[in-house]
Amino acid sequence: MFKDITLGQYFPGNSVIHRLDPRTKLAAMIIYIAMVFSVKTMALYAAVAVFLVALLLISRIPVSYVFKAVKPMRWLLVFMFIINMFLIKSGRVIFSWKFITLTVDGIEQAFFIVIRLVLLVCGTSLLTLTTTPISLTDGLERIMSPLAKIKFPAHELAMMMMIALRFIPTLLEEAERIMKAQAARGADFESGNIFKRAKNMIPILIPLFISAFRRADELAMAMESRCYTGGEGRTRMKVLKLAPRDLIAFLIAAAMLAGIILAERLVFA
Amino acid sequence: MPIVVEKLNHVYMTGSALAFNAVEDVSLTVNEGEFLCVIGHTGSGKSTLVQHFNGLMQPSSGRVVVDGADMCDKKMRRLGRQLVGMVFQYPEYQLFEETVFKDIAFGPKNMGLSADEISLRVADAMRFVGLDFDKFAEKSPFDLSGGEKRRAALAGIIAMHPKYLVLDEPMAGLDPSGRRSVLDMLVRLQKENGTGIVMVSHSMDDIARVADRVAVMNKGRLVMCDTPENIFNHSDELVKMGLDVPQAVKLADALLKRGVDLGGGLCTEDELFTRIMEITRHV
Amino acid sequence: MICIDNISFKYDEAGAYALKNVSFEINSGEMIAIVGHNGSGKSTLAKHLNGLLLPTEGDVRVDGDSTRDENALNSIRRRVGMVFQNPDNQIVTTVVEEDVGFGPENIGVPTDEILERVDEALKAVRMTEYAKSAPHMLSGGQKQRVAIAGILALRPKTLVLDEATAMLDPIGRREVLETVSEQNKRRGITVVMITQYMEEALLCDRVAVMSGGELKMLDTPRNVFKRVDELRALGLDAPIAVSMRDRLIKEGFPISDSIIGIDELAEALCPLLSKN
Repeated sequence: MFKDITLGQYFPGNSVIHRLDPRTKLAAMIIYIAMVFSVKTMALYAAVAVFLVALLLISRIPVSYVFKAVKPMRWLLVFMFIINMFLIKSGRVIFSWKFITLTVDGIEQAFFIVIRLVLLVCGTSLLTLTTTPISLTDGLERIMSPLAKIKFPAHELAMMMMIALRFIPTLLEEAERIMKAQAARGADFESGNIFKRAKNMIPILIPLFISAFRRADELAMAMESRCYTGGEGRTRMKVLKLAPRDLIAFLIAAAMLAGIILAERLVFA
Repeated sequence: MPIVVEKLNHVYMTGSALAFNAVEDVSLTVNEGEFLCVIGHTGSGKSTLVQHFNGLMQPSSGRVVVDGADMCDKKMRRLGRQLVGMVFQYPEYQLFEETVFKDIAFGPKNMGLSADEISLRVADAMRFVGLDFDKFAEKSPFDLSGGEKRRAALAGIIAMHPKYLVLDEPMAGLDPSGRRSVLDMLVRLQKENGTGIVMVSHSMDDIARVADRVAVMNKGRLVMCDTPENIFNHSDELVKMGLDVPQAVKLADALLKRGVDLGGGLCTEDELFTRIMEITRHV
Repeated sequence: MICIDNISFKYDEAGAYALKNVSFEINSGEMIAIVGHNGSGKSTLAKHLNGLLLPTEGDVRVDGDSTRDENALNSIRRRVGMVFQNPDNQIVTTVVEEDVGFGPENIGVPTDEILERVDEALKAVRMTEYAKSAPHMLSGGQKQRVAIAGILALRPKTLVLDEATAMLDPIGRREVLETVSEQNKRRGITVVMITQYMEEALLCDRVAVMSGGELKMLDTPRNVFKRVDELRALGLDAPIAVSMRDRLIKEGFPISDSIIGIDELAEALCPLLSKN
């Protein structure tokens, strides 16, 4: 079950998107997020979705693989849909009973919110799927490096992020193993109310925390043994260099955003 | 009644491009009170196979029947977990309670036993694994040494009084004396309590000493299942599958290569020694 | 050369000694095993070799530099690389080649040379074809070889394996041992192997036996395995050739008490058994 989680993982490849500078991809992602949030019409959501699918095709990552990132949050999506459906009370009323009202607007808005979330998750997965954690953190570190002058720990943050990404699969595997081990001792994770269930997670969480600390300890030793002393004086195995394709990619993303905003204002206003 | 595995298949990631058959068409019976060892290289499907024995994993097709209870039946699984205890690799990593007593009591408590019965079982299990009750019961399990933690974790399963005990590499990471004490404990459990033991292990010398039967897994399939003597007669095949053979077998093979045939069926140092003495005395 | 000069160590002030008056030298180019039961102090000793731990008393000197000297520490770690037990907890990044490059990056090697060192190190452990793979998809033996490559990329003189084979299956163990002995034989890298497997000690030039934080024996495998009873008393096992040799000698077999290998024993027994 946990092995299916693809969020935050790298999918090896050599497409144009894989080869883009991580800084370009980070910038493009911010543009993409702006795009998703500025859209309010169905047709334009479709346009963004087409854009996303086009990027996926170029990156040669199987579409099904990306949607797996969404799978673990399906219940969150359902929850968001239901909450929003009943929260919005404007528009034509379809159904009303006591304090519950269901309106056309409500359903529409709830639907949009879910679409928006799915687009966001898929878009950000595309970033992590096509960028190795090292170059991603490298990109982040470089973007944040001006801040280092004001004592902002850019390198440390980047390193922490890289290690977190590296240990996601390891800790998920471990969680699964502990869960099975406790299930074999008759632990029950499926019945009872929410408080009981939370309490039932203790036999998993405690060993998991202890193990995470042990791993952190050992990792720190291994890093020290490999002469790690912080960001100062480090060189890079892969030096970031902006290529013409980065400019083109950036322009395409920016044009896409401008187009969407214009269309939203002029055509669908 | 035995654990009966019938035409078991287990496919990971069904339906995706990454789908692969971890266990393929395995049929096997684990008899009451026997010591069965399962060997195979990493990824041969042996761990996946044994996790079906108490319904922790569900077959893609085929059946697992424990004591007459079908593990595909959700209602039967609880019973399955009581009948078949499961000890994973490095079981000390699943300890979580404040005291050793409470941790060992976790399983029995989940079975819904009375407080008196639980205390009795915990004390029994601790005695069995060689942890002194007065000294250890109120200690935090995290203050124990590596070997003691391992034994406390084992006691947690033993206190559930399973009819079968499945263990994945129970001696991994222990030093020679730690290995010996865990193995001796399993043998005692089998001989004194009649518990059926299924042990997944790479440690061929230990297997040669204790196993009634050995099941060999390769690429998801059960390729052999026989007495250790017969299994280790196929040392070439085992090595080809990436497995080791007992040291005694290596020595017998080295002698055979030099023209000294001691006859088959020698898996342990004692057997080999006895045979050498027989040969030299007869003449 | 690493000189361990009468070191003692306590994890905390009030606690017992984890190491007590340990003195010996590790020679350049040798392969030495440090064996002992759990808690014998062997891993604590290993962590002194590159200054991860500093002795409470005494000194550890690597080519004359004390591990107490903070200015020398980084250079000591470059010379004395260490591989640990759990392969999962020493790989820093999610791509094999980038992980191997981590060490050289830390010591400020120029980019071109890092790439060169990474290629060389991956080739040395025969993992070139996995350069772009994700470490969590590899087997235990492969992960440990990546970890070894990560150290080799620092071009160390000494490689310390702190129970690096303990969590591996037989294939994985064989892979790691072959890789390490090759580095020792071909490139003259000093290898220090902390282990519980006596078969691994047989591969070494010398064996140090630890118990209760003290160094109990230090000799060639042949001489160490002449003292089987003492080894057993220290919670260690003997390989089959050794214990069988002793049992047969007791029965009057005219074989040498310095036999340690299976083939050697077979060779010695052959004439005695085929005569009959």
